[in-house]
Amino acid sequence: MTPTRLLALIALVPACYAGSVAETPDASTGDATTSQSSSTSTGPDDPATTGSTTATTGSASDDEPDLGALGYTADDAREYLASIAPMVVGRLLSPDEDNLIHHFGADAIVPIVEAWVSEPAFADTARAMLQVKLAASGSKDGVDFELPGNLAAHLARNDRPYGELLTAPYCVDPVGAEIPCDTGAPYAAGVLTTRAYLIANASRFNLRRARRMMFIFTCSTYPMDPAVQPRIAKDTLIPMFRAMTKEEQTVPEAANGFGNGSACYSCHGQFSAHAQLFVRFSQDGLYHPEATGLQDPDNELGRSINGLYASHFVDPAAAPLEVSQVLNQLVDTLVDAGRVLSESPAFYPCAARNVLEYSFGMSEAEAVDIDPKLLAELTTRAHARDLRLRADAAAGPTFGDLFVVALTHPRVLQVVIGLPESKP
Amino acid sequence: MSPRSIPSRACALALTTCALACGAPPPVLEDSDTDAPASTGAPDEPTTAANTDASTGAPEAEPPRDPFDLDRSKVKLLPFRVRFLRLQQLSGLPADDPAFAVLRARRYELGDYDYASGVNPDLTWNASRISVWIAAVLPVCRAPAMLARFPVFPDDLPALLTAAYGTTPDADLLADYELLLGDANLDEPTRHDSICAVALSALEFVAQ
Repeated sequence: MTPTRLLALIALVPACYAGSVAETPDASTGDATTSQSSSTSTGPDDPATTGSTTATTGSASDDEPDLGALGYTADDAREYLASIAPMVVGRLLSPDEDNLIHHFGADAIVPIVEAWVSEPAFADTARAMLQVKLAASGSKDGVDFELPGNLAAHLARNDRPYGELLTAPYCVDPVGAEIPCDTGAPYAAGVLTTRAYLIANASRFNLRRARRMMFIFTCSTYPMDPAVQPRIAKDTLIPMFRAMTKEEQTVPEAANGFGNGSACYSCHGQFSAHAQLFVRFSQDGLYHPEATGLQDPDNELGRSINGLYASHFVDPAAAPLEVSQVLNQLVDTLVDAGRVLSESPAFYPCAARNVLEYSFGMSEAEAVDIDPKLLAELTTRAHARDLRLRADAAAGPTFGDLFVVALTHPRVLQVVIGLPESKP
Repeated sequence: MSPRSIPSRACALALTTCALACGAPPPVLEDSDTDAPASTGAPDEPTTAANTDASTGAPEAEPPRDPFDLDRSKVKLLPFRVRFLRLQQLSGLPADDPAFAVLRARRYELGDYDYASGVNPDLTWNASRISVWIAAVLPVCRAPAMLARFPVFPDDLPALLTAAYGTTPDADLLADYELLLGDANLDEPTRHDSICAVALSALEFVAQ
C-alpha cells in the first residue's frame, strides 16, 4: 500500500466518526433525546398498508405503558428500538416497523416489541441468553452442552413458561424435539438435570452447582435471609461447617481455608440444603444411585468416591439422600426443588433482571444494582400479560412476556434514551 | 463530542494502521486486560435483589431516578452472533456462503464463545480484534452480491450506510467521505474495499 493511500485512509476514519457523532445520542445525560435519525430506506406508507406488525397495535391492553402519552416522540421510539433490535431479533428495524413508528410514534414501541418475540430469531436470543448465563454451549467428549440452550429456545418458540427451565421433565434436541435428558437420573428438572449444567458447575461439596442455581434463578447469594432459607441444624453437619468463630473451627484444613474457618455455618447452614440435591451427580454429570455422600479419605476435602462430591451431612444415613429443604419447603429431589424455585417470589423478578442484563450487555455485578422496584413491576406486568394472552392456560410468564414488559417499560426507556423532552 | 465517539476514533485509527496498511492481520493474542465476559462471573456480593429502595422519599417534583446504570464509558460489542447476522442481512448471503469463510474460521478471535471448549465470550473491541474483523469483512465487501448492491463509492455510499446502520447518513458524514475520497489516490477496488471495511467496522455497526 502506498503512503498516499494509507494517509488517505487514516484521514478518512476520524471524519467518518465525526459525522456519526452527530447522530449518536448521548443517553447518559438523562436529557430528552434530540436524535435526528430519519427513516430507513423506504418512505412511510399509509398505515393501512403496513405489514403484519400493524395488526398488533390494537392488541395492547390498558395495563401496558402508554409511551406516547409520556412525551416520547417518533424519533425517540426509532432511536430506542433501533438500539435494542439487534440484541432481541438480531437485525435492524424493518421498513414496516419504521412506517409504524412514523404513524404511531412511541405508541408503536409496544406492538413492535410484541411482534419481535414471535419471530424465529427470538428463540435464538433466548438460547444465547441462557448459554451465556449458564456458561454452557458446544459439545465435548460426547457431552451435549447445547441442551440448556435448546430448552430455552424451545420454551421461547412455543410460548411456554420461563419457569419450565427448572421444571421441564424432558430435554430438547437441536431441532426442538423433546428427548430424555442425559444424566441417567430417573427424573428430569429442566436445565438442572443436564450434564452441561452439572459439569460446568462441578465443584467440591457441590457448592458451585448450588450457588449458581440459587443465583441464576432467584438472584440470591449466601448467606440468605434465614426466614426465606432456614439453616440446617448445626449438629447435622460435618464439623468443619459448624464453626461460627475461629475458635470453634476444629478441622485444620478448614481453619487454613476460606475465612480462616470462621463463620462457616452462616453460609453452609444453607448451602448444605441446596448442595445435597446434587449428591448423586458425579463430576461428569452422571447420576449414581449408589452414591454415599461420604468423604473419600484418600481425596481432597469435599470429594466422595467415584467422582462424586461429599455431602455436608455427618450422618452416613443422611449423606446419600436427595431429600432436602429449599426455601423452607421439603423436597425429595431436584424435581421438587425446581418447582419450589420457579414458584418462589424471587423467581420472576430474577428472570426480569436476567432479561435486562442480557438485553443491555450488563455484567452480573452491574445487574445486581437494578432497582428491585422495577423488577417487581416487571413481574406484575409479566403475569398480567400471561393471563391476558393465555387466560385458560396461563402457567407463568414466558420469555416473550418478560422481554416485552421489560423492554417497553418507561423506566427502561428512560435509562436508554433519557426522559421525554416534554417532561421536566 | 459524545463519550462514545472517543473510542470510535481510537479504534478506527487502529483499524486503519493495523489492518489495511498491513494487508493481512497480525496474529491475535488473547486479551489479558479485558473485562470479564458479561454474565459468566461468579456472584460474589452477598446481596439479594430486595435490599435497597433508593427512590423512597424523593420529592415528587424530582425526575425519577434511573432504575439501573449502563456503563457508557466502554464500547460494548454486539455478540458475535448478532454481528454475523447483520452481515448476512446486509449482504443477503447465507451463513455458509464462502464470503464468510474468514469470519467463521476466526469467530473465536472475534469474541464468539464455545464454553465446552473453554472459550468464553469476549466483547471488548481493541486493535487486534479490529484487524481480524477487517480481514473477515473484506471478503464480504468483495462478494458479488455486495458489489452488485453497492458497486461504486461514493455514489453508493449513502445506500451502504443506510442499509448498514438503519439510518440515513447526514450530510456532514457524506461530505467528509467525499472530501477525503477526493484527496485519496486510490484505484477503484481499493477505494471500494476501504470504504466498505470502514463502514462495517464502525461502532454504529458492531456495537450496542
